Amino acid sequence: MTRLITRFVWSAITLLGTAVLTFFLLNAVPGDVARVIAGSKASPDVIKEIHAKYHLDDPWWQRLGLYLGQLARGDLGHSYVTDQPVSEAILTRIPTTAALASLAVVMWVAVAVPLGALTAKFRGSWFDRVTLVLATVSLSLPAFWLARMLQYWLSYKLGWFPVATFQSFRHLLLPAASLAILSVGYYARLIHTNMVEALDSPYIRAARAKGASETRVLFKHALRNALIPVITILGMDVAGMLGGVLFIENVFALPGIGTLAVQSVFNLDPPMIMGTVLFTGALVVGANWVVDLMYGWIDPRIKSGT
Amino acid sequence: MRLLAQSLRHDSGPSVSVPVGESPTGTGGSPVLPNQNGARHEISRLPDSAQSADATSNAPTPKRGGTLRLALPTDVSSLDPALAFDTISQPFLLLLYQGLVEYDDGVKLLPCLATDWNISEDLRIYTFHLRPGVRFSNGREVAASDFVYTLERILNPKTAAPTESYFEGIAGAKDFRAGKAPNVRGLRAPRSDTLVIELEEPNPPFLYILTLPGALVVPREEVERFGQSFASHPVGTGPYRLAEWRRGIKMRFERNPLSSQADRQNLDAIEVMAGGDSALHMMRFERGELDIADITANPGIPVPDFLRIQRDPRWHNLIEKMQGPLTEFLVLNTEMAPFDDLKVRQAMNYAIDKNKVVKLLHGTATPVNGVLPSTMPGFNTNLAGFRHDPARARQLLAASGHAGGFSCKLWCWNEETMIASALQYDLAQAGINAQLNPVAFATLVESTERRKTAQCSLSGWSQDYPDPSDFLDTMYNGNRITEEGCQNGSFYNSPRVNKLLAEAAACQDPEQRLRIYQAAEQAVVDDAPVVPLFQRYIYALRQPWLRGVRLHPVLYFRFERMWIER
Repeated sequence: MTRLITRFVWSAITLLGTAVLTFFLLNAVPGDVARVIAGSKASPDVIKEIHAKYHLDDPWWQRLGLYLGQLARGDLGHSYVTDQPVSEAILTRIPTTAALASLAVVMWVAVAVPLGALTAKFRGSWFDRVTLVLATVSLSLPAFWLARMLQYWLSYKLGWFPVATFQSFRHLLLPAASLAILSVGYYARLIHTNMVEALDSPYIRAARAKGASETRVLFKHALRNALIPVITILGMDVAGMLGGVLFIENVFALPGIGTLAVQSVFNLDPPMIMGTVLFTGALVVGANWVVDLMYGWIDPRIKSGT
Repeated sequence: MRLLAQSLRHDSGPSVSVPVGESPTGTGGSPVLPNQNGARHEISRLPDSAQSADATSNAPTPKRGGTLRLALPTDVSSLDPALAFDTISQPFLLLLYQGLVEYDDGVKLLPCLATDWNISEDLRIYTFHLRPGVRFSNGREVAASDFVYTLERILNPKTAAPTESYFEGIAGAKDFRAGKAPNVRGLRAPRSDTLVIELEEPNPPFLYILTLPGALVVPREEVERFGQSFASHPVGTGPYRLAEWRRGIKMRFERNPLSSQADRQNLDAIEVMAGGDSALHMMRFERGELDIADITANPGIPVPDFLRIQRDPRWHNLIEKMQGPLTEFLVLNTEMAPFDDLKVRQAMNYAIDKNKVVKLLHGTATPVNGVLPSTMPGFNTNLAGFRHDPARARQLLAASGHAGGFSCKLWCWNEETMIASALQYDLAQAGINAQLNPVAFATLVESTERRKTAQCSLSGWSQDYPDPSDFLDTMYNGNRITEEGCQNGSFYNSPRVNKLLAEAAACQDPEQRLRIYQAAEQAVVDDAPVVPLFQRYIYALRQPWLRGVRLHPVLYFRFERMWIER
């Protein structure tokens, strides 16, 4: 229980730190937001009005106080550019990002798990070696390059998939595949290493000795243990994956959190930038919590140790 | 207005029903349109090879039905005509709202919600008679008091309307803004169908100003009901209404059943997806997912794709082209050394090879000598400019005491460094070491409009309305210099030019007025507070089934006149 409370306090401090840091970074950006809002032909009077409306002339500590007070009430503020509530903008975009990320996870799990398990089983074979090379290649690909190439060849040239936007399940296939390809090599190798270790363990020998079938040995006994470190890494990898989502969403113009973040940067829209940063921060903190809780479920030894 | 993709701005005004596929002077050729002042003004048309299929269309009767599919890099900022003032939102505002007057296919003004108007002899009082029976999309009939409300809303400091300064010349506007009067004295509705607008001083382009988004009529009850979110619940008299707007994702417009203009409602719907860059939009267009390749009109076909598209037999007949009502230039801050020296400014003009810059843009622009675009009434074909002459540039530098050259900081938008790099190379040939300072758009605007901050910067101006005052008075009137937010980016103050501009503003003879502006422009060019660079062409690349696409010299796109034929 104490551990949970400590965790909670640290999470809150992390998010507060994120908010304060983002606030200062945005303050350091040169340029007058009022000009962005009103356009370059607006009169000085109009600029003054906008400054007053958004408290742009107040000292920084007052604005920070105002912002943190707002946050404490659960209010992320309104966009300077569109006047839309930031929380509403984020909420309308969660489904797209969630659909993209989930489909990508399903895709890479479906490929990486059997690939990792089978390369461990047939280690040293040509199948193992080719997979290793492909995994290294997939690890080294820049997200935006891969996405653009797939889009160019498979959508634009061959017309197998829609080029961009999210209107149906078909629109998600290529973006999710791009995201999955970026992760599949890494996780296939991770599972491979863990499986090799697991397959050499005494309990596997025991299982085989008891006459368990090879499939059962591989996927029931070895894989379950091999997956524990994978889940840990997966939790920590949420932040990295969000980075990939940011690129992929922008390449395919998917209306998710990633495009919202990039658009708000281009619009120089501080409340929206802070909102998306805080949201992703909360997502990473949340993912780490989930991983913490899942440990106990997957490996009871960890639970009993607390 | 300052020209950069994010702020690429020009005039606005609702549209008119003219049979599409026919220019006012017949098909093909170069139509010469009289403007409101009686001056003649040539609208550039595309070269014959690129002539649109519309001009030779054998199906001139528009068809009803279908959805127009468009894409934008980012969503429009607002659909409230008091707040939106940029090229991207403008064509969409014109789906929803209308004003007293509107443009024809060129820059001639036609009645829209006003049936006719009288202008008093001293050119200060405008009396408009309204078209009867026009209804807002909420069902209420439009009255003259709605125009009074609309304009007072623009002038109200609380609205913070970017177009406010255009309407400050209305009698009593300043007192109203200062809180000294509850209403604007010069705005009156003596009858429900009669509107009177009184100006402090005569302002020849005032009717053009009435086409700006700020003058598009809105109903008070809806604005007050929705407050700040009126932008998401727009109510106007336009041919379409907003059916759906998921901010930053998608807009959908459907027919306004209360509109009486069936000829502007051929499309069932107009759908606009937000997101993606021009390269992505081009791919989507070529795969048939979009009906127009790029509606940001900057320049309408991505420059890297331009040559390929132009040579592609599939597309080259589907390109609409017009000369953009804009010029781009290098601004020299005359208050900052060494640009406070006329010889140095002239040397900068001689040093730059405009033809090379235009070549870099694949010929999507044409070099200019002056600051007014060729689409502007009063455009001076005999204007004397500077030719490329690096030797002369070096001589002038030596004469100004900079024989060894000098260093300066060249500010540019970080998304458009290609042109700046070309200029940097030319300047180096004359011994001038220009260090590029690429910055974010907001920073560029803020810094270049602040006194004694940016030495020289790459900039541009797009017309807000077809009158030379929009360029010359805004950018070169020394009396308009302010500490910050100054549109006179050269901080140029010439008593002679100031006097000419004042004379032109007061001149009631349209022809004479244009001549004074020509003299003012020549004086500006001679004083070289800028290096005029080029004028872009604007393109629209469309699908073969999309008809009625005709670029407008002020409004660019008028979606409500398009139709789908398949």
